[in-house]
Amino acid sequence: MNDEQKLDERIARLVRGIELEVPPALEAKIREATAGIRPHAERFRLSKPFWLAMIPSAAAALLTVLALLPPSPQPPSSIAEIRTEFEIADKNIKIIFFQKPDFNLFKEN
Amino acid sequence: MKTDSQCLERTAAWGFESVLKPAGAISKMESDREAAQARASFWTKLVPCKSRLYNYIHKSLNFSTDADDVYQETVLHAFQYIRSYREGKEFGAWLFGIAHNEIKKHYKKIPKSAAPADLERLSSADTSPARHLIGEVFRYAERLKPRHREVFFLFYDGGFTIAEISKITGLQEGNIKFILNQARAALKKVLGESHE
Repeated sequence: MNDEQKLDERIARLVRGIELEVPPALEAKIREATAGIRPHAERFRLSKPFWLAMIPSAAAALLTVLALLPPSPQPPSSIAEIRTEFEIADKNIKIIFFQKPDFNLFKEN
Repeated sequence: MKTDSQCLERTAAWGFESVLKPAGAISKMESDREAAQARASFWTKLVPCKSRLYNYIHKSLNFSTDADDVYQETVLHAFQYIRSYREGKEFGAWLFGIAHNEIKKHYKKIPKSAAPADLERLSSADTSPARHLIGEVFRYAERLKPRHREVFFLFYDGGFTIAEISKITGLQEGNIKFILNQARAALKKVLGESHE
């Protein structure tokens, strides 16, 4: 037996030098209290219905899925008009070209 | 053709009322029988552990006057959840786990425990030097943090192994060894080299 074990035994003896007994009055009180209690039938009993507990989990799962989804590609928007501006500063002239989709370059009047 | 109600009426008239008990009543009877069995089994299992449990709670709470209440709460909780105890596993460790939770709850409510008890009076040692040493050990334990004190008493008073203490308290085995080594080092000084 090594020193550590000897020391442990000595400490254990000293710790057990104070031994208390369960007071009979306390034991009777506890037995009386247990007479009115039924042991729980289930291993773990939830205070709320099971499906109610699932709601936050389902919401968290949905948010995770939404966060992980790649953003959907947007359809290319059609060009409504092309605007080109020229400004001749010293002559105080501004030329503006508008190109519209219905403008036909080769249209004959 | 006879209807079900006619059949029941005739059977009842023949004196078979007792057979016609609804299913709910039968299951209640079974449940009552199971509860009575669980109650009897609980007290049988508790008897060998109760003194050890009582001492553990008192010593862990520095012999506080609330220790009796904590012991009562522990036993009542253990009784309520006796069906969660798996047969074949050590009942003592299961019970002390509940006690550990109750002690934790107590310290949350009342962080500082009451004034220390008269150790000299509680001691069962006959000789004065032994009483003095017992006093020294308990004074050391009194200065420990509540969790450390629990580990100390689970090991030295409860006689649990480090693995069992780990299961009861949820502490890692390394931490428990550290706490016990600190206790050994401190008490070696207090008790002197006369432990050999």
